[in-house]
Amino acid sequence: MTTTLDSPTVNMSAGPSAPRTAERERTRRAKKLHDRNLTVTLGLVLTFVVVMSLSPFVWAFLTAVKPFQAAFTNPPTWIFEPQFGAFADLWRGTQFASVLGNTFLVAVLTVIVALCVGAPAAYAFARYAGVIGPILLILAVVLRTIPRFAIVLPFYEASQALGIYDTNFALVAALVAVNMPFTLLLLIGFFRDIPKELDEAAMIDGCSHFGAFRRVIIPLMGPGLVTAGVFTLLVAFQEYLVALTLTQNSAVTIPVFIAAQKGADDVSTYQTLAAASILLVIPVVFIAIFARKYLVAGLGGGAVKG
Amino acid sequence: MKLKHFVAFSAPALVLMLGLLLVPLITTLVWSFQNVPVGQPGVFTGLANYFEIFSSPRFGDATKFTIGFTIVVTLAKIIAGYGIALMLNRIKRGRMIILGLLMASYVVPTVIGALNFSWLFNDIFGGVVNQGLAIIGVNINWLTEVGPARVLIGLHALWHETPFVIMVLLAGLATLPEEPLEAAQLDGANWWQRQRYVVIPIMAPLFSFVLLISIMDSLKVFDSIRIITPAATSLGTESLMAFVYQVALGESYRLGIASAVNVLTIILTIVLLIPFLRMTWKEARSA
Repeated sequence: MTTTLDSPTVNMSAGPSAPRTAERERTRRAKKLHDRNLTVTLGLVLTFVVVMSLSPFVWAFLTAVKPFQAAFTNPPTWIFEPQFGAFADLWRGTQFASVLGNTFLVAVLTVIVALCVGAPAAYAFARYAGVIGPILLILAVVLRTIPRFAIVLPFYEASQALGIYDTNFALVAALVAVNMPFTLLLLIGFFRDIPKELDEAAMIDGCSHFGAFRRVIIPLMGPGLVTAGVFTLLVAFQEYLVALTLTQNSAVTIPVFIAAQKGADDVSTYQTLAAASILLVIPVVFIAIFARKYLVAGLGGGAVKG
Repeated sequence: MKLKHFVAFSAPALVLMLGLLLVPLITTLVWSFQNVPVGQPGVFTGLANYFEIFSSPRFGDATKFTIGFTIVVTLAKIIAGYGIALMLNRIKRGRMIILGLLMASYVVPTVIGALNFSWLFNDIFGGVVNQGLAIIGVNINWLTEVGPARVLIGLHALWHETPFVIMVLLAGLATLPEEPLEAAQLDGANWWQRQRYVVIPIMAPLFSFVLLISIMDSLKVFDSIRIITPAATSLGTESLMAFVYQVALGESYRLGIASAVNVLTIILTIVLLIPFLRMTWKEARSA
């Protein structure tokens, strides 16, 4: 026993001795306990972070369902009879429903146009070996990062001159254009991951280049198209600056509507504003949770690859 | 792929970007040298717009605020985001639910998020944060004082954009190769050393990506400022883009001045972009 303790090499070759094993078992258990404590601590910290992060929405919800007198007391009222009149007021008494419908229309049109135009181009950028691809890509990165006002102010002037100011057409055109570089960057990353050999095999089998793209590559691009689609949808839905500049009444979208209601600074609209916030937060969060896998893939892959 | 096919596939997007991005951009550049009343053609005035901007203290304040905001918020976001990503990476159960819930503040339209966020600091709505601070004897007028209003805009950006940082960095941590970490552990490296010499270097491209996006977005901050501090000019929270809006469509209709500010912002952005562009160029060439 003494020999083994004095010379670990002998011990190793002779196999583990009893006290050593016990000691190792102890450290292993201690480590396991430490790990479990760490996990519990981290879980608590993260739960706290989540609660903090969601608190503005929780507060908006409480504001929406409080009776009017209880909603604006300082210090806040915590015990009250919940009521849902603000939601009814929002639906019946304001433009909310029609603005929401228009926002969905604009967002969906933006996604469709952006993907139809963007997907073939992204494919071409991913495949073409010449020098044009990289130059355009650089241009796309630059265009993605410049201030939107630099694009949208001329749009404003031009849409006034053409008589299409405050139309969905002008708004969709601007949204597609402003987001096109990003759509391209995202899609290029996905197209690069599809081996070139597939195009070639399809063309050897008699497909035209476009046929190969449509029949072979697009079906494989499901996740990529969903990612780009979800991104574009969220961006179009929440875009404020572009919509603020290009719309006034008939093509107004939700962010512009909310900001205008807020700007009116009328206490009687505060609860309908809170109700509107909640109605919008819930679906968007569901989309994000549902599409999270795709979003992570998009951000981790497509966008990073630049 | 032949040039012919390249052109055929990319033509719609190229025409669209040329007509709807490049032409407006060139218009902005031209306008920056003109006096442009809305609805009328501009009159060439040389560098007058630029001289006016540079002698305007309001533009100086907006620039200083925007750059300060960008630096502070970007650093804070990366530190907070990496910390939370590391914690999320350690736990297994509930990771996806926590991540999903954390994403809420990022995916919600900025206007709505900023509105709801600011209510926590607003006494009309009960001012929950102020109630909490009152317990430790602190009273802050977030929405009417210069310093606190700036902090509030920063806090909102942190709340709104950190989830993006978490998402990107967590994706990186989840796909970290195991061999170098095991090797470092066998060599007796402690947690800090493994972070410093193994994890962070491997994640460097992701950090630079997040850094880049954050700088670009922060330089263009606009939505939250319009919502949280409508009186941004007097509250010291006027960013470059808020200034552009006021000049072009808010208090006056001076598209020339607004365009000059846009041009300067573009120059600043491109200078900051150069390292990233070189990286993209190399990668695109080698692909």
